[in-house]
Amino acid sequence: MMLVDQQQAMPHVEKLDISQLAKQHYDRVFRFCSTRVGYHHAGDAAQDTFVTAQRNLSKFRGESQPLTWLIGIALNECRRVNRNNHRTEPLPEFRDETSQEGQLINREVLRQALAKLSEEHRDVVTLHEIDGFTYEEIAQIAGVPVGTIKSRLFHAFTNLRKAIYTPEPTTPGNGSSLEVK
Amino acid sequence: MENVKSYLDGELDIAQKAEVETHLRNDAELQKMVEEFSAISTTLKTAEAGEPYGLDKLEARLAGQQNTSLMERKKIFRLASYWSMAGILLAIGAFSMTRSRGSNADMALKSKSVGSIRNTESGDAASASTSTSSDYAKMKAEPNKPSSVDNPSVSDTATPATEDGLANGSATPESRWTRSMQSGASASPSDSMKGAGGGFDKRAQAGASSDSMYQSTQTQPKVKSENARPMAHSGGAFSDSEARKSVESPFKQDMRAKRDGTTQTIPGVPETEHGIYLERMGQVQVKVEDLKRAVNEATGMVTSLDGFVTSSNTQNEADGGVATMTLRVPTKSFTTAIDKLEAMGDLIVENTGSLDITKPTVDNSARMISWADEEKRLIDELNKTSNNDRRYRLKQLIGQARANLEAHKAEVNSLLERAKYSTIELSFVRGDKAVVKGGTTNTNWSGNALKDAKENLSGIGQVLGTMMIYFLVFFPVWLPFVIAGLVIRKRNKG
Repeated sequence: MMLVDQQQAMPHVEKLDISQLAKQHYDRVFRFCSTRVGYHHAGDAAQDTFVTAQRNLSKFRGESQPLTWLIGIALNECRRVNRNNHRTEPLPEFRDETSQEGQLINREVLRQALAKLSEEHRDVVTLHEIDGFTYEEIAQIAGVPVGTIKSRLFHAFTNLRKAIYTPEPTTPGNGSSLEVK
Repeated sequence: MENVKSYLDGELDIAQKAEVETHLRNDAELQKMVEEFSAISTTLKTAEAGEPYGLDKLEARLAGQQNTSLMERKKIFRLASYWSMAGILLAIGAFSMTRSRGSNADMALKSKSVGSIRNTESGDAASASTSTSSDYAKMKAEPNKPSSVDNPSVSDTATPATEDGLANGSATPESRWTRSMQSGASASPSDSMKGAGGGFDKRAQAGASSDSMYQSTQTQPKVKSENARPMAHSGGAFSDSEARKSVESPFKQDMRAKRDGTTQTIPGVPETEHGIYLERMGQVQVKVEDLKRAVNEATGMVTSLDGFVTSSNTQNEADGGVATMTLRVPTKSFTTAIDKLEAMGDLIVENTGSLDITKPTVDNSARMISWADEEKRLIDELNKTSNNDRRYRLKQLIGQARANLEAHKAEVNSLLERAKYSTIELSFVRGDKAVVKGGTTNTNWSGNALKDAKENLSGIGQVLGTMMIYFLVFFPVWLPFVIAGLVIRKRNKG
């Protein structure tokens, strides 16, 4: 459990300094935005996240950690950027490397499998697997119970596994689109 | 099964973890799922976000944002304040213009009702009464002049005679009689004499025109001279007036004294200082809380003033209620009665007026005296005549003279009675709160409560309506602030 007691975590809620928050959490917010709006728009989205946080600093009551609060703002900023750019949320880019620990999945196949997920499932998978948030943190960001996050994550992985490991029926002249590396 | 992912993420407690591991040892499919989940998770973690950039820009933005935000807010609020001040001035100007227009309208209304004796009617009643208020005003300003509304003929013809005679006191009663009678419009006794035929016709033919009794009385000296009964040429006192008065009734004596100028008053009749007999009338409408009580009080008041109630009607007391009464009070107590009625509640309407009955009163009394004189003369002649035909004819004439005398006497009595008692049309309207005073129980509490509730509801509606009107009128004041708030909010969001 990464979340600590709220009273201990936020003893100085009134003294939150946005500059300090930016220095501490800008990288994670940037990466979060990069996986959702793309690398080129991530800078603007991350900056807008902190500007919005600065305007709403007085509304922060310390009920969650500053990072999860910032990620919640960033999530809305990324959606706004995608909406303004008239595009759907881009899929994350994966490094093309072979793990020393075991078999990896073809990146393109994984991207296609991610694209087939619902937005809720994709958000949970991204937040947990890519951004590294715990179940509790994701529950705070999404505003749902932890059990819901567990369930969504399991069903999201089940769908990914099905999309990746179950071969689609082949059509003449078209080989299988899925292959396990 | 759902715990497989949690197991891989290390989110299970010891018991759950042991349970999953037990299943894993026995279930090959589950083992395969764990391996594939693990592969997906490992691959997902290879997602690259790139090197973060823009922190320096962010710090610059955050530093500038505070100043910009403050400056923008100050600017917007300054602009809103200017607009609001302009709006306030505009609203004040519009309000004062409206007020001045309203006061001008009030002044116009007041000028219309200037001179009204008393007119506290409100609404339509007030506007309806303005048409006659000027006439009442004239009457009040010049009480010695009869109202042209009440009796135009008096003001046109008879008034100068009575004014000159009584107000100045210079003219003799005889001249007053003559002038009044010459302008009289009522039927002349000589007409009836003509109809009856006889000696009067002959006298009239002898030297008097037939349409004026006084011309016929001017012929009387001829007759009287024949009978050696000197008589004043123009209606003056008889030479044997003392003897005549001794045999006349007190009423005739009073009227004769009035005619001769030896007295200015008629017993029982209030004599105004200007010698005008007025039949006074009043209309009073008062809002009271208890109708029965008000009716009783009004009755008691009238009785105490030696007056009486001629009619009284109380109806529909449970639903508002109206009581109407017709009061007759002595004219000398008319003003007192009006004042007391006013004090019984909230005055709604009060109109007072007068009808000048001087002319018909004096006219009829003069004719009555003349007929009395004629009766006396005929009786004297009858006593001296031995011719039976002549006596028979004289008796006929005496009967006619007595009939005319009684008719005029009755008319005079009626007129004097009208002058003696004034009429007040009184109406009571039940007030807003029918609270029964004096410790008695209010039996109509539910109706009153409903009525009060309705009135309060309408009052609240009126307050809300007033607030809405003010809200709309003062829109230049609040609108800039609303716009400023919206602009700031939008910029904050943006």
